[in-house]
Amino acid sequence: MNDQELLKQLSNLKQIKPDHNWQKKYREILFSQISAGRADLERNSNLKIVWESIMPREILINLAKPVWLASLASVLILAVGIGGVYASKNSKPGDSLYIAKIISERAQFAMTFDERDKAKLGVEFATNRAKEMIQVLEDTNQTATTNNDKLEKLSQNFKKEISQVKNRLFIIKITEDQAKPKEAEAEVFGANLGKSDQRMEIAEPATPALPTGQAGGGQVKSTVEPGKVATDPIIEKPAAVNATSTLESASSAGLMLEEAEKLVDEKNINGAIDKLGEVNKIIDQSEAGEVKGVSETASSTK
Amino acid sequence: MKIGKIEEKLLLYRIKQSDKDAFIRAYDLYVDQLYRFIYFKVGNREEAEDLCSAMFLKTWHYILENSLKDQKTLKALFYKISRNLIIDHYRKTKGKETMSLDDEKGIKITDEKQNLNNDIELKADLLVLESKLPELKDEYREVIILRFINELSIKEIAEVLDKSRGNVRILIYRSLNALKELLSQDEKINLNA
Repeated sequence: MNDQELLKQLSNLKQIKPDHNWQKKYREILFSQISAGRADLERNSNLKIVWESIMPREILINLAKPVWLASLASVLILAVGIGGVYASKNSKPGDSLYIAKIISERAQFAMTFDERDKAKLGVEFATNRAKEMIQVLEDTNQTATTNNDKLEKLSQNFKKEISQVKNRLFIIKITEDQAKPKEAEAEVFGANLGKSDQRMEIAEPATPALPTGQAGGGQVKSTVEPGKVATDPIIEKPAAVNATSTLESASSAGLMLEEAEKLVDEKNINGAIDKLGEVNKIIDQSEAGEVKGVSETASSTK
Repeated sequence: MKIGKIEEKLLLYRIKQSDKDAFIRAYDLYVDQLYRFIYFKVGNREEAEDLCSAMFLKTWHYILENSLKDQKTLKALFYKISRNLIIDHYRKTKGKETMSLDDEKGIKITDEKQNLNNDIELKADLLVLESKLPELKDEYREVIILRFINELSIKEIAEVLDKSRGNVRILIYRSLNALKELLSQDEKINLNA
């Protein structure tokens, strides 16, 4: 007997069925037996059953739980964080939220990568310390000794911030001092490199507008007459002038910072705040001037 | 009577909700194959009927008590409960004669519409197999009934027997070989005689 025959014979055994009468009779008995138990529950539609089978409620709830909890926790943390930072804005040393203010300042500082922006932040934080000094001085609830201690600490922090700003300004000054002449040289050599015998026209470079008013702007000395070609143009260095202005503004900002320090020592805190405001303006102006200078230099090299 | 997978899922869902009509529908769908399974295991029609009826009632109570939390298919549950009842039955009737396959009465085929030829063919097949099936190991006999008579899939058999699919495949292969060997031995004896 081969496999097929065997399987066919086995399949024939499928025709064995229970007695029809027994089957019918027992069906009724079974129905009455199960009816004696629990009452019928409300019937659902097939669509609902299919939906619940695909996405059973337990799975949905289990999935939703951690997601909801995580999102709720993050929203709470965010709300508390933002609220804390806003509430701590006017806090002074000794307040419970003062630490939040310091942390937010440090976080802000850590998130800033540009040296100029860091210098600006330093000025802002120094201003904050100065404002806190005023708040401490106005606070009459504390004893004089406590206030003096706080003022001492704030003064130290103020000086620390100022010295950091000074360092940053010095770094900016050095980097720009090193970078600008190189750029200018590259421009001069780039313009003439192997092209002295070629006919070329050089556009008159735009005069950069500098806040100090000392920026002269580059000028082409050789005037090009109509029909003639400029072969050896001498270009003055507008970028270098720009760098000079930055250096000057940096040194003037440094001087102002020193003045602010002195004013704090003399307890003229409002005066110190004004000076810091001016320093901020100088940094802003030098930044704007540099951006302008860079764009003009770029256009002249085109 | 065949049932689609989706229909079976719906039926299982309804039964989980203690739907009596759904359970009766399941009875209509599965009574034939479950009766057959029990019948080939116990070898007696009346005992098979008793065990079959007991199995359906027990399944209903099981559903009411356990809410079918871990059960994936209804068919597997019916077969599992059947197997347990058969084991209990073996324990009770230990020492008594078993696997008679209704020798004295002959196998009663209830389909009255089938023609005489079919009847003769079936009886001939059964006569051959009825003597050989009980000689097989219980495990082999069970898997042959499930796979080749009741036509369960490998997956379903694996669920019923609590074995991996690979194990079931091996078991089917071995049981089929064992049955073929038994039948070939029988043929040899007949030829020699």
